Amino acid sequence: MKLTPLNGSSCAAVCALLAGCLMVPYKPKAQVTPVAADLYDAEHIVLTIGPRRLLHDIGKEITNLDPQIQLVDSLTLRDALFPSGGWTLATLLNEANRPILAASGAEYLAIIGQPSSEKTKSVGAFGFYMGFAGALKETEQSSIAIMLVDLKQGRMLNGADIRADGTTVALGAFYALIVVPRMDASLHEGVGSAIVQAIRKARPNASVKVGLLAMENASYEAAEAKEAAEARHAELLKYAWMVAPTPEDWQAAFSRLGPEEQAHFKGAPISFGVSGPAADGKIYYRVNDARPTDRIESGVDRLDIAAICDGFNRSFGNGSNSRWEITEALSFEKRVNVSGGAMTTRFELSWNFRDPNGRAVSASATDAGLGTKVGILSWKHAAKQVGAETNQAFALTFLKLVLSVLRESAPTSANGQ
Amino acid sequence: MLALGGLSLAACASSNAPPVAYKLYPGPVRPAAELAELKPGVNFALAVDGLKVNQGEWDEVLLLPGRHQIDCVAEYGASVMVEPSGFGHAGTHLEVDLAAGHAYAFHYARTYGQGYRVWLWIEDGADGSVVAGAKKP
Repeated sequence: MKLTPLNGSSCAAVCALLAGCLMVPYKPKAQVTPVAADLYDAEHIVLTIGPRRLLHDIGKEITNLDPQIQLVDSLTLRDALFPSGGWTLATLLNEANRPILAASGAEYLAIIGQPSSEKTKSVGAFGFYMGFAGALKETEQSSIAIMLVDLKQGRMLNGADIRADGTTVALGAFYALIVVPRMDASLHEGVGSAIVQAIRKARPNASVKVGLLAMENASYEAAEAKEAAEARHAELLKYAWMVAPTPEDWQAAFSRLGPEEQAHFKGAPISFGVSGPAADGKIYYRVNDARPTDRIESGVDRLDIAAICDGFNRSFGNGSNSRWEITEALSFEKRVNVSGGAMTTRFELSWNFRDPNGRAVSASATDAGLGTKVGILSWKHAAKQVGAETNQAFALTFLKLVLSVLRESAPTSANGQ
Repeated sequence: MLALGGLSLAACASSNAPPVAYKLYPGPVRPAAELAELKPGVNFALAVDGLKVNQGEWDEVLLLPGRHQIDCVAEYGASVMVEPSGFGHAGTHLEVDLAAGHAYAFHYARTYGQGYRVWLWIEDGADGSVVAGAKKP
């Protein structure tokens, strides 16, 4: 039997039939927009070699576009620029370090930002069940920022924003045709092109040594912004901010107080409400809907104050005969802490009250004891658990806050009479 | 046969390639005896003292001994019945004292099914002791 070799397209057709899916990748054109170099937060921007593949791919693009540009090894350059560490942009641009920059072995340093990507639109549905089915169109936008430093002169040149828009199209009727944008390749090409153009503008027709470093924001407060942690916390907060205690939650929280503490609440109903989202899209809350007070920016977007108010009043009385008023909500903060497999929530509440004699009372309560210890590390599952327990925790913290005001301001009317 | 031979050679070549080391300390290169070595493995993405170590990009991270802040996220395949995407991830923050001349490896283990549990821990390669996190009982 004589075997006939398959040509490329035949191979692709056979593979497509076997796999049931034909992928057609394409590279969208990247747009380069020159921008002024942004030195904001320079002391927290760390220059690293961490994204090794990104730096490698961009370096390859640069040398492909202009063989006269020689790349300096990123690690060697980092160690030459920062002999004693402190790999920040601020250190790099410190005037005292100019001789070090000039002697680093490179003439230009290209600083590559962190790529970001987001889906901008999605229409249709596509899936697999006994074959592919459906039609889907998704658009996404990826971007990356770069900055260029003239190491000989010790000064920043202009930077650039590189942006690419891509569209994924999937069509399925048992077999599937999927057109996929190669966003990374597009961005890398755009970055390479932007760097070459900027260098050639400054140094036309000459052999130039260029180094590449990536930038990361590594202030420890900003560590949550790190990609993995960000995803984890976004997942947590998605559930954890659903604070809307039901009357049952209030009663459960109430039952955890002692009999004397419970007595304080008789005749002291409290009401407050939420306004917003306002025209600026933010949610503000105010206390006692009937009386206009200054708007307080809540700082959160999912705290269901109306539900909290409703639950509280349905459990403890009606605001219409309230002898106590919350005149101003100063702050409300909830912190979620994740550490070593345990997740705890902590409430910090601060309100202004008016007592039955019309005196203004400020009160604040911090409760770190409330929360949830979760001995598991499936964040999604843990977050759901915390979300369920958060309502009671909030309710109890709030009750304690009110209790502290009642005790302090009206010790002789402990039973609310 | 030639193709198989080629594949075998390629496999050998890749397995013998020197590990890609991320030098995460300043100054000149130091001998291994003066450094602590983290081995993230293929499943882990790390942030060591706030700096990213992308998943699968580095075989080892070389650090000066002492206390370090490590965020680690393990990614693993999972049934679509419990993770619709087919992938799950779990992460934690660890504060750990690393000793010179020691190599540390990241591990994860989990249960299966809805509400599964995940354990993440770092082991000292010298004696297998857990230096941070919690090992699956």
